[in-house]
Amino acid sequence: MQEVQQLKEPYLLIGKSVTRTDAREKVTGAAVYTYDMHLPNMIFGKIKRSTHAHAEIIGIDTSRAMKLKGVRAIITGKDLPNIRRGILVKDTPVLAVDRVRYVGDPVVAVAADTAEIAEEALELIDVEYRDLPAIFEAEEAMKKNPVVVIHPDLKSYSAKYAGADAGIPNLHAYFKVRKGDFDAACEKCDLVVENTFQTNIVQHFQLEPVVSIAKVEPNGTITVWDSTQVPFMLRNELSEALQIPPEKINVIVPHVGGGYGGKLLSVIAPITAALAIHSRRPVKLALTRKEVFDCSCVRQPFAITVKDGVMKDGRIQARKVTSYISGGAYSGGMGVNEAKTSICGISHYKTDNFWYDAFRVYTNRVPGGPYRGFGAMQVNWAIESQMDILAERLGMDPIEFRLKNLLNEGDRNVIGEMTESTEHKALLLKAKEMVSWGSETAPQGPWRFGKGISIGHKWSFAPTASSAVVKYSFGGTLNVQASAVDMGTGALTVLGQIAGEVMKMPIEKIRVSMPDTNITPFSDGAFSTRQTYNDGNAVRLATLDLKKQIVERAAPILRADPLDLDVRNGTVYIKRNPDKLIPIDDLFVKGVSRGGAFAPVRDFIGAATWYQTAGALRPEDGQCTTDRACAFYDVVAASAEVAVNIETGQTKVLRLCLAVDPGTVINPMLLEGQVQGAAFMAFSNTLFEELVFENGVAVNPELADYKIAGAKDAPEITVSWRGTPFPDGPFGAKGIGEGPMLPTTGAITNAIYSAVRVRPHDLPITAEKILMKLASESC
Amino acid sequence: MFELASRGLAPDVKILIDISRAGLDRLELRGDELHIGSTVTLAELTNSPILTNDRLYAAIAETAREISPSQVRNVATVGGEICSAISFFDLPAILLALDAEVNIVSKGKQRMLPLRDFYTDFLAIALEPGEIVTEIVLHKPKGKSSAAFIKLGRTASDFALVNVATSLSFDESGNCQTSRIWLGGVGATYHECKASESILVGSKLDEPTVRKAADLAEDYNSRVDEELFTQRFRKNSK
Repeated sequence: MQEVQQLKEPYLLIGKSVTRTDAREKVTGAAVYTYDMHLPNMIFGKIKRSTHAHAEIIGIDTSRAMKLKGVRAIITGKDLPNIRRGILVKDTPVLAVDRVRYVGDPVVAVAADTAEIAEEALELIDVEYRDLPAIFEAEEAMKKNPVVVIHPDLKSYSAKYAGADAGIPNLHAYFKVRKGDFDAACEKCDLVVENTFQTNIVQHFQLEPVVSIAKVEPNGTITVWDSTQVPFMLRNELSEALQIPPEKINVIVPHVGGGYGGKLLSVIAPITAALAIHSRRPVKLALTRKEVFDCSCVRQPFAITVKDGVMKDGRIQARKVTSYISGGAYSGGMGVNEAKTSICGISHYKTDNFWYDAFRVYTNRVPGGPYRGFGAMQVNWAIESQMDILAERLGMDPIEFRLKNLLNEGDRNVIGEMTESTEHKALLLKAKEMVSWGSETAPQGPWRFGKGISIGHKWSFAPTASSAVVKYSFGGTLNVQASAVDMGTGALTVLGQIAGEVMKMPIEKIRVSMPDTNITPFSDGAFSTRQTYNDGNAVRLATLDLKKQIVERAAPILRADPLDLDVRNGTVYIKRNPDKLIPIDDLFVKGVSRGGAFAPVRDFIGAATWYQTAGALRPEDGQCTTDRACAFYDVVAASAEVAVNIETGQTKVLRLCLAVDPGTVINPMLLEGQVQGAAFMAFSNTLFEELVFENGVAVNPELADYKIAGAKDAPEITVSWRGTPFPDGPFGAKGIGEGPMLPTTGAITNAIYSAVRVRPHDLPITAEKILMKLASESC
Repeated sequence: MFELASRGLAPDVKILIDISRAGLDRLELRGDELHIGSTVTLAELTNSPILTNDRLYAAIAETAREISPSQVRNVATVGGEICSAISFFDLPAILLALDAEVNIVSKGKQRMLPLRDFYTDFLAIALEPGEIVTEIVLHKPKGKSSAAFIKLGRTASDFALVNVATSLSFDESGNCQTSRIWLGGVGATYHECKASESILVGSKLDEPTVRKAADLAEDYNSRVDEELFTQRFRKNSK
């Protein structure tokens, strides 16, 4: 990995590949995940799910199951408050009440002494359905007179939603960008090219399945342990769903075995809590792997049409993009927002005339949830494929063509944001160099070689907020309390490095607590590449606040002005005379019981909140009301070299190169891990993964038939990073979690075309598709 | 077990017997015959010098190594691979190409059955109630011989989409004497490419002859059969 980082001062921890604070626990198997947890008196929950894609519930008979020995509670939708939850559109009941809308929709929940008894009880429950017509394709769902309306009461759901006036009954989320006049501009163009692309349904496949444990405490409050990415959002959803005040709910997050967006919505926590309330026992509800595949959430498929008007000299004069999103039966938490967030997958090129319409419609399938890349990944692939198609039509090199159209510093992008840096071009050229663009490998037997390139930028959503509390204890340890979730990213290690840098303390002396909503202060949680930047800023400011208090306490003792003092290694010293110092421990008074010590006036505790604002996007044209609609952009360029076998259609990705600039890189090793992880995930999506549905039933909801790339398939993935400090970030840092997801698919797709002149317009790019296209094109 | 049952692959199991210590785990040469017990694991196949040092039987070890991942090889057995009757499994293909026989034992009785006659349909084998496969027995053909196995999967650790196992033996003048070409994953059971085999027999295996044999094997439209195969798989797993 090669890097160029301009660090202002000799940092102690920033820029260092410090070992993860949770490394030892995770590697030795000592780390406790919610899935591992066992509480005294705990019983087990299971869910009876709809076997119909769309039906009315005529009746539910639980009488036989109630008699089964070991069953402690059985609940249906009627036993719960009549509340629907959701963000933007409140459409999701905890348990179906009068209607089921996808195969797998939860209908009845059972808690029993063992999981086996609970399963047996499910078999004894009878649900009578009356089938309704079902919709499986976005095309049908877009109709003004569809065969069925999946949410007939949509307009009465409490949140207002864009597109309500469109007259399309199954439409519930709509995002629109209007800049310039596409139609008029197109007519003046030298070349007009239109293409359609279809992305695949994939599943997050977190190593730790979705799981929740709920316990009613003696004082009537509820404690929930959950493998969640968003403890406070979960607390809110629980509060809403169960109609219990949020302060009576405590969410604790143990180690999380992967999230990727699939643990942003409260898939089962409200059900678990309801079972705990009804059974008066702690309840654990863990989804099976199959349920995670087809009953939690999936990455929703986009059908994308791109129509471009270009000039002979390579300028894109007019661009119109339309996305039809088959959203599934419900809004999927933030999944509904992918219509809007997808814009950042295509906003990296400048053009004066740009129209975008993104429609999310209901279909009778498991809900589409947020998935790393948040909608931007899907459209970025379409655009980057189209860019290569255009370049070829124009007779231009794909890189030259992109350079001609990428944003420059000072440009306003298609949603009116100001472009503040020139990372795009530099990173594209870096990716070009990394893959040795221009040097071709000759065919070897049936293998054909090719190279491809692609670029994208992913925004980090705003407005969001994070708070942090940092405490200095006698003995020289620092404790950071934030509600940041480390779902494998290394987020907590990074926060420790930030706090340690401010106090100039070694990482061994720093502990970062895991989220507990009763104790750790608010944070919006782990999504949209936000934690390093937002929680990092909160931690930095909180530590500065802490340092200020320490320094003010030491000032009279050192007979100096607080402004002349600094801290390092557990001491306070005079900047101009560093030999004059005092250990911070000396500022404490020993406790009477000799067990510890306290600071005489008040504890050394620093606190801060980072509230990140952003402009809004106007509903009528998607234009930003200020210079920035997000916290920051994470620009990533990717290049790939592939070998395609013309006899079997197989693609081997020989190498993947990622060029990134995530602001100051706080921990290079963790950065590399994140980039390689995202690139690998995207690589697997591109060539292998697809959750196939037939009439709403998942055909391959398990590992034998849902193909995920493994270690042996992995290409060589090289990462090159620059660390250009970003003014608003902690020590100049931004984030990196999602960016590499975007251009990787395009790079591989374009490389395949370069190798065999075949370009599937739908993912995944399987061997069969390549063979079929090779066969049809040779006729 | 639960997963198998949910796919309809283990209907109505009333009694389950652990046979891992029933003495069926021997891999040995007895004179001219190679005996591989049913509970020999795939890992043992990949590591056994009796196989790896033998020019012909090394193909068995290599085939076993294609079955991924190593955790599976550590527990999966020869008997399991053979008796599953899943026509894209790898080990039966190479054993078919080597003209293996299965030794079937029941109370007071014993019979040998060529593996080629062992598969009657997808998921179906020619075992009567009360019978168990105790071992595989192989004999070497006369003359120089060798065997090979290739599999095509999606990911590196995948089941085969299609696989092919071949064995050849040659007489003193270098002509091909016997030829076996077996395809897996192309239908309900394994398929022997008899037409291709007969092209090779008597030839010196020059490139044009081999190409011709290969083209004949392609005559089996694998796309159509994949549809058929998928339907039958689902029908059988209900």
